[in-house]
Amino acid sequence: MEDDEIVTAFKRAGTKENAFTLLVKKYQEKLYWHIRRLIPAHEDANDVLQNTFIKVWNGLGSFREDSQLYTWLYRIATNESLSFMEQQKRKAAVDFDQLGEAYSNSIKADSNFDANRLEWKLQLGIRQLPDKQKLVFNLRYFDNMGYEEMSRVLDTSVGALKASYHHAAKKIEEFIKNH
Amino acid sequence: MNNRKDINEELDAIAPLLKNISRLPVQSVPEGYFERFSMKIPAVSAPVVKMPMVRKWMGYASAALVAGILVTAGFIFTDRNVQPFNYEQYRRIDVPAEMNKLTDDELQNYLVTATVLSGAGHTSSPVSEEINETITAETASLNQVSDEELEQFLNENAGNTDIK
Repeated sequence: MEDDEIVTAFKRAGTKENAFTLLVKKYQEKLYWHIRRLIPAHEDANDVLQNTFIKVWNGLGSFREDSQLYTWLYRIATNESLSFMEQQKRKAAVDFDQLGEAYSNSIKADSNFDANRLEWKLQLGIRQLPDKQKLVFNLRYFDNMGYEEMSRVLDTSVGALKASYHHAAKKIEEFIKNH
Repeated sequence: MNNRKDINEELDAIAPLLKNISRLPVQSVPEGYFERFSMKIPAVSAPVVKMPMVRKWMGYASAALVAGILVTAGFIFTDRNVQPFNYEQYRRIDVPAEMNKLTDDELQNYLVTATVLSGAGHTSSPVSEEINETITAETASLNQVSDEELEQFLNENAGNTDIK
């Protein structure tokens, strides 16, 4: 089902629940991995995904369709992830560096972790970045998002996003070369 | 895919090492997670009905009226038992004349009693002690005055109410 059809069906009382189920099935994996690349622990990512879909349920009825549905979904998932990470920092009373270290340890604790594989080094390299840079890099590198679309998700100018992505990519490459 | 081509060209220029790394997720996920994933439809919460502004302000006005009535009634009913202070009876008293009627013993008793009642914890205060000493000293000096001298003093000052 196309996105506009899902939205139309959602706005009708009789088809609302079915439309929502279809939407969840269509986007759950994409949104999950978007969240999981920011929040390494599966349980936490699952919680954030649940919260994201609750917000979608509450807000889709008034979705204006002046942007793409998936842009709107990514925006909600991003905000929920950032809120969660802020909460983690406050709860643990840690700063960004300490949280980054905690997240790196979480990656290394994964049952699939293999320090020799480039894919895992890439993940550890991404962990070194500030949250916003991490987001920009993930959206472009993994989700193939264009800068225009990204600026709608993150509410940031295209120029700033380009600079952020270039900087992030160079830092990650440097990290991989040194580890 | 247009995006992917642009992204790869961009990586060629800034970080070529990243271009050939697999983008597939590497983190582990519980088996069957996505197949089993479902969202419990959130329960419909009762709609919040906002109280109209007029009703809100009428509520405040009623509360203020009741409070005003209670406070006013409180003032009216608690004031009834208070008698107006009668200043007139006290203005008519001739204090020096009344004081002259008191004996030294009565004065001393008053000072002692007043000190105890004030809670000072002493049966005498520095002031009453000083008066005691003064009275004792004066009594002692009076004892040295003869009866004739006293009589002469009283005759010279008969009717003088200002003697201190």
